[in-house]
Amino acid sequence: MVARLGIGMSHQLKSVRRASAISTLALICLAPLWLSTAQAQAATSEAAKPEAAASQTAEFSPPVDPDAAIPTYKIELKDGALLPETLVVPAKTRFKLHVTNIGTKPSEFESNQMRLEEVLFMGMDATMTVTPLDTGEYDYFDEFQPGVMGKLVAKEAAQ
Amino acid sequence: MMGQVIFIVARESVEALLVIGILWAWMAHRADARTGKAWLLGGIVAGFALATLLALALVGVTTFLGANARNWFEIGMLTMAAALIVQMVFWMRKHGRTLKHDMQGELDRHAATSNWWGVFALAMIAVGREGSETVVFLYGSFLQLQSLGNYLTFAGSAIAGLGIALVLFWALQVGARFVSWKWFFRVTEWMLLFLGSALFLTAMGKLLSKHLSAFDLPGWIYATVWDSSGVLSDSSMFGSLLATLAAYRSQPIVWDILMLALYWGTVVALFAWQKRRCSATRLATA
Repeated sequence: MVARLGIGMSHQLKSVRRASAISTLALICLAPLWLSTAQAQAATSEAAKPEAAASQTAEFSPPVDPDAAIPTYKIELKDGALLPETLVVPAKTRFKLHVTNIGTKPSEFESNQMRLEEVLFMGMDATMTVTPLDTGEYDYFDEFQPGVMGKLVAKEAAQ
Repeated sequence: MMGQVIFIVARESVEALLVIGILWAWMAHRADARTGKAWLLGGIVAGFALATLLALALVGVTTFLGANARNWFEIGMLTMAAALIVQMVFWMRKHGRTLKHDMQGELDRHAATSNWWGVFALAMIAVGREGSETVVFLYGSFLQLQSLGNYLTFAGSAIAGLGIALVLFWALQVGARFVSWKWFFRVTEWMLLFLGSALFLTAMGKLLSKHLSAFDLPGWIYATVWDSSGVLSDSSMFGSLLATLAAYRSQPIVWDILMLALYWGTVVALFAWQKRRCSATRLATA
């Protein structure tokens, strides 16, 4: 009885150890991925900080057509550069983004926070509708050329 | 430039290799492993074909469906992949635990065939969807190359990127061999279910912004529930990996939370029903 208990325990211990071994293995696999852009990330967040502070008082960005029922804002992607890097739009209002890849490399316009994802080959463009946003800041970036982080600021329109 | 190629290829392959790696390791524990692996490989090959087809449309060579239809197609692919993952886990919970001594009756074999189609379709979507983006990226970068040296480093980088992602596949196979089957199954079934939730959430996000954006839904649907972008932004490397593999969102709106609740609610209900039915049959046979 005692022997059997002992065997059961050691077996259980072993499986626990194995479970932690597999999670460690998984983490080791993912580590290089994370590290490879951690640097780029650090560089961007530092660069973005003064901009974020300034964005609270920033003027609204001009839409392409000021008379349109749903305003459209233009973003151009150029080999990793985002033009513009900051957009200020009214909060709680539906709007559109017209994104064009004017660079010499393919790009993927992406924003998890605004639920957008669009692969754009050189010279191609796409119009995406963004659902009404609460006041706050939302990131957008080119997933194929990471490093530069764009910031979309949604703020209350003046009454 | 080349570091970027390595990184993008590795990143875009992780999702597909996670699915394929887990399915492959599961197969090894089955009596009909050979058949299963053949279906899985078939799915991967079909996935490459799908990736090429989608990439051609993205590059603008062909007009594969219209833009609108292609959006629906993508939502369909994502939702189907999520459903297939849940079904696969559901099936493995039923059969995987009894391991090699199932698959006896004709009925079982019939059920298996339809599940092999599931394995095939899941591998095809996993490879095809992310693969198409990789193809566009590689093709576009390839066009910029000038010299032979460029071509060689480019090819080397693409292979290195795939190699990094293959480490994940390899780790899963090693894990399956050295971790007890029970534990391996437990861990990987959760990984798959979380991946399923991420796929479903992405699909529903596209549904909301591409097809429901014309309708005036009540404002609270769009309200931000919390903002954890200061702690872990889903635009950061680790955050976006968590977003891809586990549906993490740093600024989710009510819609996101509702959709995740729908997914997990369905999963819990299905598994509770399965458990009840299992214990019922066990009582009946006892």
